[in-house]
Amino acid sequence: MSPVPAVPLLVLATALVVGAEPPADGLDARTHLALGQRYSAQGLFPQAIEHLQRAIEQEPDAPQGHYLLGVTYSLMNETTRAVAELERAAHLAPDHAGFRYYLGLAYLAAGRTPDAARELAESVRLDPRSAEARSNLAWALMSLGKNGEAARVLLAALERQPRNASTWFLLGESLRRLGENEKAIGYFEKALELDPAHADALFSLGTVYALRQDREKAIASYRHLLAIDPRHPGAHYQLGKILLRDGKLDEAIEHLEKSVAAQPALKGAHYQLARAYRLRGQNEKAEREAETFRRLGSEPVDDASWRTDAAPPARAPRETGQPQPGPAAAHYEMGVARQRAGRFSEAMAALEQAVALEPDHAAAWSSLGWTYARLGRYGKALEAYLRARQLRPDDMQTLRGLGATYGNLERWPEATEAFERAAGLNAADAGAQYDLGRAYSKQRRPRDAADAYRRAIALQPGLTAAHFNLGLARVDLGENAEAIEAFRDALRLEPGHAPARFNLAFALLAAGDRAGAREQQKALEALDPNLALQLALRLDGGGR
Amino acid sequence: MIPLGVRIAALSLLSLAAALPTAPIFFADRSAAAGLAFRTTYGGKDTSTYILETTGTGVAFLDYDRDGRPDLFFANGTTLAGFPTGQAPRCALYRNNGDGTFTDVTVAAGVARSGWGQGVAVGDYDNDGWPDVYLTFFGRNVLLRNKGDGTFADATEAAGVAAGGWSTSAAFADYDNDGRLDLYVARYVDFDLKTAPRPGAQKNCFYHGFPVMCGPRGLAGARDVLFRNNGDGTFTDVTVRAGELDRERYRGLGVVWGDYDDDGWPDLFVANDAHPNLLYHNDRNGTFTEVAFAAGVAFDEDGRERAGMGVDFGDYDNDGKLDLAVTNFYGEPHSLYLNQGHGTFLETTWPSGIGEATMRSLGWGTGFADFDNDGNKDLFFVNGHVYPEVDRQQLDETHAERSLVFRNKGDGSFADVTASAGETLASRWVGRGAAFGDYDDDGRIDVVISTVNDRAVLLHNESGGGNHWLTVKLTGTRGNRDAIGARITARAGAVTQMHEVHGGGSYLSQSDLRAHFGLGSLAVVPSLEIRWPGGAIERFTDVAADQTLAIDEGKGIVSRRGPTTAGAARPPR
Repeated sequence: MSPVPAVPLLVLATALVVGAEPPADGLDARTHLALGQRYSAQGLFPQAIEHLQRAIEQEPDAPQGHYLLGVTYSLMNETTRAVAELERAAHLAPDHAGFRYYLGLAYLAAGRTPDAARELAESVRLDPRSAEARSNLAWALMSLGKNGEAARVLLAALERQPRNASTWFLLGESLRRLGENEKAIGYFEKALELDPAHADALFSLGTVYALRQDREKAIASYRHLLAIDPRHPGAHYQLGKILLRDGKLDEAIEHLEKSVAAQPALKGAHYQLARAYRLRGQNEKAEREAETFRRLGSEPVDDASWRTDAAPPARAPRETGQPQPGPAAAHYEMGVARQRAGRFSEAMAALEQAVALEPDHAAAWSSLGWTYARLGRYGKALEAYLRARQLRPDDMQTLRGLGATYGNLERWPEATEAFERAAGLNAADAGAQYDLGRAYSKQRRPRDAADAYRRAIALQPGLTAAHFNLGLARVDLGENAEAIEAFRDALRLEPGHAPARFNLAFALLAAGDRAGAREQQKALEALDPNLALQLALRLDGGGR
Repeated sequence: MIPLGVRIAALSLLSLAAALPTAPIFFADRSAAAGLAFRTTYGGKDTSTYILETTGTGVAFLDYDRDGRPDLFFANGTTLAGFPTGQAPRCALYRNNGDGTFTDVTVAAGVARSGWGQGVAVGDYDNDGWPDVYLTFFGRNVLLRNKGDGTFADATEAAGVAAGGWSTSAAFADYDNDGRLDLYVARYVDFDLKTAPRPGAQKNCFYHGFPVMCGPRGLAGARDVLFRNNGDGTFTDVTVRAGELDRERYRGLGVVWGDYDDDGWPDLFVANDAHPNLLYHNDRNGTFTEVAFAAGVAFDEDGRERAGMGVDFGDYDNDGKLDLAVTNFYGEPHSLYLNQGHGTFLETTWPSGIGEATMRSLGWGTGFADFDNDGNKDLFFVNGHVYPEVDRQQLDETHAERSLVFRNKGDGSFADVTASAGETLASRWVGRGAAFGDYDDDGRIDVVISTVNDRAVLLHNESGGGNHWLTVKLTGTRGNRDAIGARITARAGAVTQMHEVHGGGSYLSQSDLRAHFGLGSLAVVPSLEIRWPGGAIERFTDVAADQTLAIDEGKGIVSRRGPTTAGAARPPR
């Protein structure tokens, strides 16, 4: 068995999707732009990139090509490239509010929040009408700890769009962070007046009431939220905590169990469940929850990213001057933009609107599934993905998202089936093979897992995580020498991969190479002191 | 034999519960008037390149000359650039003149030490009756033995307590009840200036998107040390033998000893930065068992490890059990844990009102003390950010922060009374250490604060209300001389107040070891009970209020002193 319980994860860009149509030759830049834009909208990114690059080759100083290429890279989670292209576009057309806006979003995705705030502020200056730019600017400012400034931006946005529930919500949130809870409550209530089903506003309202010890109102807010979304893990968790404090053990446990069912990685819920079970005298269950809590806290890699395995579905980059889309498409586009900005609850609301307006909008259902999964609402994600699959049975992203969602629900046979279908659709898709390997690993099918990882590696030799997971599968198979080789391959690609080094040390130890293990332990000290310490404790004997 | 206290006839014995007028809490900055000119030097003023420049220094109340008046000892730091020979900032000892002023006696006492000073611990480790001082450093720690003639001698090498690495808070207690003070030294990060990453170098080197000093996340912790006193002037490192303490090398900052389960054996709490806190239960056989998770004090109620800095044990609900306060990072509330008995605590951060009011503070020194003498222990938090750079980024948070004082409402909750506690508390300091004690013996607990690159602040307690009080100075004869670990219980009817003399607490600091009780309108304490380390019990009845008693183990009350008016008290408010 592997010494590291967690299997590393990888957010695979949908760049791996390979289409069939080769780029056409002899086309002018404008045609390449149009084709690139169309492919990008369809999620056929390699083709889109091909055309957009050709457009740029022909007209290197035309900003539109850089802009569309940047947005395409953004959709692929290729943030570095996205930033480079969008910076180029903004450099060529510095007064284009849209370019500055998308550059701001790309900076946000790249974690360059101060740069994002600068660009979004510039976008607002260039186009003061854009409420969305103001909202994203406010979000960036809040991330930078500038809640007071964010509140001022949001108030300005509300002057233009006073009936935007999400803006009222954000205003409340910024004030909550400033400790102005009375005002925050007022703004959350305003958001709910405009949109009674605004999940984030209900949740934040419950949170403020809970912090202020107004338990009745807190409970009412969370219950209201659960009436809208019966699986909302946060609402179940917070309710469970309040009820536990009130000594209502059975009710508390019921909600806490629901919260971990909806979001298995919700660490606090396991912590509280351990307490609650202990109070009820269920020590075995308490210890199990405590163990889960510890495991979640000590995993060297973030298992939660499993929920976001599939990249967000593609959205068509819209050009300035392009005809406005229809209502469903507009909601869809807004939803995807909010996904990109990391505002998932708002994305969910927009995408729900999109599918309500156009129930056969497959891409919107798929995006909605991804968003639900990102919010930890796997039941709803499953429903959305199943609907998307019904509409488009052979969509790779939907199948991979569906598989990931089944995985989050611990329904591994169905996850495997979805991944097998995705891999079967395109045998040259390294990401699909990798997903399949993960599903096999979870089902304790190390032989099948190893085969899938090997196929992924054959297709994409630089896939570090596949090498690492192959190593773990080899360990499970008792193939220690091969495991060592796989871990070494992972480290050749990524010398700073601490879990690979950690597991390599154990494999070396199993092979009797104590000196080699010690060498890895030394190297690990600079990479991950905590793992290094764990390893040192093992090497020195004993263990807590 | 039960020693007799002072009997005062014809006084109605009001219960403590009935004696709870709400007296306003008020502090005035008397630093200048007291002649306290000490300034801390610590790291860069506008920028911190390394985490080493952020932890600051501590302060201690101690009566080094045994004149019955608390003196002050300040640790001091340095800068990355360093100083020419002879010009380096040094720690300082201030003698209490007894008239509300202090005199710098650092040089005469032979205690001037330079370097990256951190904490101050006080304890009479050789039981000669003179309090000794242990200074922690980034580097070699120093044990200063009080020679009893106004000077100190460096006993570090002889005692074997240099430790090394990066030590932070240290605290004395007699964990094995052998009558000798042992020493726990928290250590923070395994840090090397030659290899430490610089701002922006790694993912843990940013704050709100701008580059700042790296850590503590991403930096390996350093293992704490427990030194057992051998009784011959030397100590033995028993960290492993005592139960593999801090085996996982958490980043220790705050330390306090306290008998949380009231079994007569000192337990230990360690606040760790971005690591779970540790609670060591004393197994009464020279070893400890770490129980923080099961006791409910390792994490916050969402199971997250907070950035534990300062800490204190105190019985804030007067149920005879030690509760716990811990200060944390900006965006986290300071934590309050109510001791439920049976070895468990309940986090009461939010229901107590502490949570909401401390979310936007970055806390360090802290202490339970009854500032308004109403019979309920209040709370004081010293705050200050770690990143000087926040001031340039125009964030909602600032480098200098307000200290906060909370009045215990007597119903399990606290009210933030900072705004009404005097203009001086509207000031912002980059606070770090804090020690609590009644320096002018006027019966009201004062506060001294150490800051980063700023002057020390002496807050004179000028709370009105005219409430009664009692201060008790214990001296052990069979147990340790400082009586650390002794438990004093004052009873009136069904109401009880308990104070345990404890080593450590706050942050890098040591408060006055004398016990202080606020008594409201109660002019006589019907019952005062002392449980000495080792378990011996002494009881006193009908003890008059408004005096400082000195009680020696087995000898009863050996001296009494009434209040002084030295601190230029303000008229009652």
